[in-house]
Amino acid sequence: MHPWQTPLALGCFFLGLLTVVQFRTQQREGFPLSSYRSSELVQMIRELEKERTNLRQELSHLRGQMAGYEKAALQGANLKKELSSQMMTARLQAGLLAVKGPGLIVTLNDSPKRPKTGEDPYFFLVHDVDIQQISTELWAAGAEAVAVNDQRLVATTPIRCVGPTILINTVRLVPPYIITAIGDPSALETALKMRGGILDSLAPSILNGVEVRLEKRKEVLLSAYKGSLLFRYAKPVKEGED
Amino acid sequence: MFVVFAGLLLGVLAGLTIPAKVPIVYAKYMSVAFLAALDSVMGAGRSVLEGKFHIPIFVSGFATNTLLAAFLTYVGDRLGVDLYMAAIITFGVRLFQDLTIIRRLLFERAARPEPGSTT
Repeated sequence: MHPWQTPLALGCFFLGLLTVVQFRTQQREGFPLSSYRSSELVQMIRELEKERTNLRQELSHLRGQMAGYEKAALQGANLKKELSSQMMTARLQAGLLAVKGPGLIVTLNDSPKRPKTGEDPYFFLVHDVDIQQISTELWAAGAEAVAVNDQRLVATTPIRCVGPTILINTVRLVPPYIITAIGDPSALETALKMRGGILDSLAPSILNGVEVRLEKRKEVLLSAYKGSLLFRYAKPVKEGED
Repeated sequence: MFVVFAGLLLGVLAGLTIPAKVPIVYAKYMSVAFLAALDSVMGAGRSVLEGKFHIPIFVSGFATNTLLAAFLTYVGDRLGVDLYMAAIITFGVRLFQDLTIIRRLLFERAARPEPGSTT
């Protein structure tokens, strides 16, 4: 055995060790998302959306069970009726109950016309900010419940643009967007038609054919919020603790 | 020669058996260490063929190269400069140089075999 063999073998040992460890690390970390082809990403989104639908069904099932338990607990503990009505109010405020009442229906739709050369396509479409502004304006005018295309707006509801669609409560909505609000119908309408208000700022789009229609109704029906209400990070603070 | 390959094989097996958990943060260090090891092995192969192999030089070279590379990577991380590139380029260039010399020596040896050479 030559004297150089042992140290060289040791060097080779480290070389093999490092190679394999590094290789396994890379395999475990996987490839970054950006290296996926967009079609694969679309497939991933489809699968995740399917999974979400299943989970939502499970959620509504479990929520039904919980309502039963709550009822049983209330009866079993023989608590005052007041507690149950407090619970009802809380659920009403959280948007967990379907509600009806007088209100306003706002219909928004993209322009049927196509932008000619030199025209900004922005002013031919309905955008997430339009829906945000209208819903905020409705809340400010005393709306007690607001929904967009049957998606109830709750405290954690996001309204944002995802490609050609608008994402509300993890559901992607396509035009026409129908915003339904419960409140004093004429107060709601006045808030939107206010001088310098949202309808004024939408004027260029309306001129291009974007549809904005307001209808006052004696009774509109809003379904309950169907998404998840899981709080993983926020913890309630007891009174006097803060 | 057999011992060297046995060492490589043992290293691969060890890498497969130990529960490898290198956080992705240290991936830079791993790549630099890997190149240092590869460079040392190539350099050792070259000096063996040249008949200039000395154990202290090999061992100290291995250690100091790896340490300097790791130090450069660390300082580069602190300063926000990719200093580890210096180590990678140095090792990379040396790899090709060593390989060229190894190739030349092997061809020369094949042309006129020396009696008693280490093969």
